[in-house]
Amino acid sequence: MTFLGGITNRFSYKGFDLSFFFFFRQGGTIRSEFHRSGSLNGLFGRYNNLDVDYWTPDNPTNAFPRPNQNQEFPRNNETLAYFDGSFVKLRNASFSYTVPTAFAEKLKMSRLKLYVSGQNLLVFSPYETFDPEVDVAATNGIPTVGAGDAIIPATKIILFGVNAQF
Amino acid sequence: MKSRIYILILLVVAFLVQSCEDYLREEPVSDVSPESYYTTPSGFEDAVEATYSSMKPFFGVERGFTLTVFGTDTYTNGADGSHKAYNFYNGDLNPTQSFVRDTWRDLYRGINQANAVLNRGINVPIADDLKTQRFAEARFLRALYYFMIVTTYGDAHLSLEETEGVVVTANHTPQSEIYKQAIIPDLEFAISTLPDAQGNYGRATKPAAEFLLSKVLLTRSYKSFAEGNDVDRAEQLMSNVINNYDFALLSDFADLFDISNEQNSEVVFTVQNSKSQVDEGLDNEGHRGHLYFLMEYDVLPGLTRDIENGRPWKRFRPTPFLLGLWNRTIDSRYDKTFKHAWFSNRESNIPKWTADEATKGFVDVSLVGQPKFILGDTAMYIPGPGTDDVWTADKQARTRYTVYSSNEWDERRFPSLNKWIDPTRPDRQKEQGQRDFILMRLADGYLLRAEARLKQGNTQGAAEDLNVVRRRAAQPGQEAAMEITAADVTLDFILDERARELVGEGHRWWDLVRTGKLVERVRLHNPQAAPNIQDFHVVRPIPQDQIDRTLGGYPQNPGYN
Repeated sequence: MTFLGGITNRFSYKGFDLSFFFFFRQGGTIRSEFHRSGSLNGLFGRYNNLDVDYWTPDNPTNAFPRPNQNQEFPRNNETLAYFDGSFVKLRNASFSYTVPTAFAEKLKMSRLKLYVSGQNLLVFSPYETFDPEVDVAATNGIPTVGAGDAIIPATKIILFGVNAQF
Repeated sequence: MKSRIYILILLVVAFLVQSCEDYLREEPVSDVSPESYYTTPSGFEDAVEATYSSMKPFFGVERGFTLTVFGTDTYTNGADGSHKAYNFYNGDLNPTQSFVRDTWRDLYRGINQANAVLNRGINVPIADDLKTQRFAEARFLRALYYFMIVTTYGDAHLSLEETEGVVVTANHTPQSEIYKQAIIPDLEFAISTLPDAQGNYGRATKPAAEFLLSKVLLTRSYKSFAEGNDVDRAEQLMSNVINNYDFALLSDFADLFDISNEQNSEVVFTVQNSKSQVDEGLDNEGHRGHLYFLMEYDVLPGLTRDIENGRPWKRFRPTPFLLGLWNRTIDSRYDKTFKHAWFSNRESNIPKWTADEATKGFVDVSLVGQPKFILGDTAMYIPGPGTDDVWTADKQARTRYTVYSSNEWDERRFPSLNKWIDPTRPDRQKEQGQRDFILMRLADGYLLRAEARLKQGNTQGAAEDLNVVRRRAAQPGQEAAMEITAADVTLDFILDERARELVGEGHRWWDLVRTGKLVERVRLHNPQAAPNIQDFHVVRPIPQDQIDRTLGGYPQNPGYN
């Protein structure tokens, strides 16, 4: 079961205004191109590799198999690239300060507001390598992070602005 | 009011006038289709040549080698490759495997192409004897493709009519019928019609058809639906091939793989590749055997990849069983077809003597810091099977160049079969090589006849055939030592001899399946496959595509559901 949801918040105090919107998705599986053996994660020991938690005698983890220079990629390696795609994202946040009218009028303005706002500022997800929100339709139905020309990852935007009314 | 009358008149007139009765007949002058092109003399010739091209996506490229070389007792997997399932016989060898799907698809394309030749060529305005000969070539190829289908997949779809338009049904014909209705009649027709030799080298000939029919009948003779005289006819047909033509074994086994002498007297039928076509990119397949059998030499001290040493894809690694089959004092075949020494071609990483090695007494102190060898010297040496008592760890440590003895062989480092090396490629990365793929050669014919004679109970005759092959393979002066007697001839001995002679040539998996020895020998000699191979692995799965696209489904081979 996949859940989608969000929560919008607005706070204001004196001249300050803070609003933010959290968006979350719970559930869903994504495939990570970064962890696929063909590209970056062959664990071949000879090529540059993604920094993953692999098995060694001193670190007997089950996350990824041990590098083996006699093997181009691990057996059944496709399963290593599937991850839980749940995330919580700070979709947008905006913080503004409205200058008190008296002060604004000194500057010959009827209203002056300074603000900073941002989009896609923070992502919290068990999948740590990249932003797990991908456009499923663009990847032939398999939500794949980091693959293909048509995938544009969500961009982080920070805006500074001045709103002045004369 | 007036305009209304005009409209009314217009309507009446419109209804009274009729359009023309004839349909629009288009004369497409730039269209190439079976109807328009294959019925012309040049189109017919092109259609026949196109039928040959369905051999190329299989023979000499990764698909054909993967399905025939490993997963057997002689070869297991190397480090690389995404098709190790054919060696592991695990759950990855399933109906969605790409080679399973593509082999089926391309063989049926070839079959349909042959059917089109036979269908469209009936009224082509060319001389009758030429037409019949081309029909025979198409039928030879159709028989070859159907033989590949039944020996790879078992029961399958049979159609001797060209497919026109979209067809969503398929039949599931037992192998016995495919032999009886398609393969054998096609080859009989080919034998009675084809000439002994063709002007265009590479076209089907009468000896090629006899060779193939002999192999077909020999294969059928092991099955429950064999006919009584299959073995006798197989023996007789192969005797025709051996005796009636100018074929002769080459005196030196190494000459068989000389890239400048491909059209030699031992070759009966090959899949043609042309250097200009592969180099210019017109032929995307070529012969790629030079990639798959080589070990990883290009990371070793003093070495880098070059054209002559090859581009090592390290796909296939010989099993210890294979390497123990040759007695190198009397048998020259290992020495002539496996690579022994790699010469240094890169100065910048030639190793230097260290102080530690001087302390241990391997080298004089004055040489510490000096390069161990120079460009052109041996950089790496594989002594091969049977030499471990000479190449001890101590001797290896004292040697200037890297030595790999049998206890050091693994998925990246192993004896490299050099039969298919292509030093004529334009650059060191080029995958398509120019070699012709040898489908039938005379030594193979002798060994098949020996197998037929053994089945007839004629072990003396079988021993004679085996001795012909073995004498040719002998080290100089050792011909008598190589000979065997009738008492030595068993099916296992013949299979061992086929391994010694024909290793890496694309026959092994089919040889083991034909003789019913696949599961037994794989369990004994292939450590990667032994834990997983099951009795149902003697055929490959029917591709999932075929099952999905057929109305009403298509039965899958047992064990693969």
